[in-house]
Amino acid sequence: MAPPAHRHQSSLEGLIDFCAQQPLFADANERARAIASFHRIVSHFEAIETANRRPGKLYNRPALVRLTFEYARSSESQDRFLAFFFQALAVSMLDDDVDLGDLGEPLFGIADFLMTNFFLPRTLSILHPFSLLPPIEAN
Amino acid sequence: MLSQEEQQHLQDYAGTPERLLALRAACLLRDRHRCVVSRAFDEAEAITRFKGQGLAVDDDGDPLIDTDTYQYVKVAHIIPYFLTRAEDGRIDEPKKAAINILNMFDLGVAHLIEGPDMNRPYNAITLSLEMHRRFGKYEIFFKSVLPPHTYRIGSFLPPALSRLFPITRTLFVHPTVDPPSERLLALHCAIAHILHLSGVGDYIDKVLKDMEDGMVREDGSTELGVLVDLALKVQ
Repeated sequence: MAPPAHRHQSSLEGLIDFCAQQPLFADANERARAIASFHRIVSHFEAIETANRRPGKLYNRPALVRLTFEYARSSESQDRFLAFFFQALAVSMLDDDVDLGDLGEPLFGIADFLMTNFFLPRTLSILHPFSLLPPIEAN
Repeated sequence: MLSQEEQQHLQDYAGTPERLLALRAACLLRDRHRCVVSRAFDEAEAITRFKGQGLAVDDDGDPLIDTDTYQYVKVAHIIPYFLTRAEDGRIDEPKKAAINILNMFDLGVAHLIEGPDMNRPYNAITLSLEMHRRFGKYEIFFKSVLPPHTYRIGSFLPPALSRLFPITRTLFVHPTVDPPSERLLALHCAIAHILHLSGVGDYIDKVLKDMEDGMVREDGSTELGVLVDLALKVQ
C-alpha cells in the first residue's frame, strides 16, 4: 500500500533542499502572519486527530509538525521550517483565509517525512552497534 | 549483522576503532570515569585499580571505598550517526534530508557533527548502561542552567522510575578535552520533548516491545513497515 503521503516523500526531499536557499519574509509583520496561518492550519488538524485517534498509532501527526516548529532553536531555523511547510502544502504563507479542506494529506506527508528521515532513525540509533563507542575490556 | 564491506564503509565514515578508542579515553578522562548523571564510578576501571599496586583511588585521588556507587559505563554520542541504507542496500552517508531537517532545528548545528567531527569529545558523554539507554531513548534530557557546564537533568519516565530526577549536575571540565556541547545537548533535549509530547516516544516503545515479543508482522501498515525496515537496518 502506498498512500499519497508516502508518494510525497521524494518530492519533499527536493523541496527541503530548495527551501534552504530561500530568503523569506519582507518584514516582521509578514513573519507574524505566516506563523499565525501555520498555527491555524496545524491546530485544525491536530484537534481532529486528537478526537479520532488512529488505530494502533499512538502519535499525533499534526502535533509532531507543530512541536518541530516550536522547538526549533532560532528564528532562522523556524523560518526554514515555515518555508518548507508552506511549500509542501502548496499554499501562500500570507494567505489568511486558506481553504483547510485539502491540506490534511500534505500535512500528514510532512509528519511522515520527518518521522522517516529524522525521528525514527534518531530514536532507533540506540539499537545501532555504532551508537556506542567500543568498550575496553576489564582486566 | 553488517557485512565486512559494510563495516569497512562504516569505519570510513564513522571513524576507525583507533579514533573511537581515543575519543573514549579522552571522555573518560574528562568525566573522571564517572557517569555524568548518576556519578557512579566505572566498575571496570575500579576493578582494574583494585587489582593494581597500592591504594585504589578515583580520578581526584580520593580512595575508592565501599560506600561509592559502581556501575559499568559507556562513552556514548550525544547525537549519533545519521546512517541510512542506500537503495542498493549499502550503508550510506546521511541523507541530505536529515541534514536539512537538523538545520530546521538549529541552523548550522549539522557542521558540528559532520564527518570526523562526529567523534570529537564535545559530542560524547560518559553514561552508565542504564542512563545510556534512557538518554538514547530520549527519556532523560539536559537543560542548560547557570553556572557554566551545569544542567538540570529531567525525565519523562513514570515517577516511580524517576526518583533521581530532576537533578542538577555540573559537568567536569578538563584543560585539554572539550566539554560536552551545550548546543548538542539542547538539540537532544528538543528532540526528547517533541518525541514525548507528540506521542512518538510511546509509539516507538510499543513497536519495539512488540518486536521483542516477536509480534511484529508486515501487515501493510506503512509506519510499521518503515519501523521494521529501520530496525532491521540498525541490527
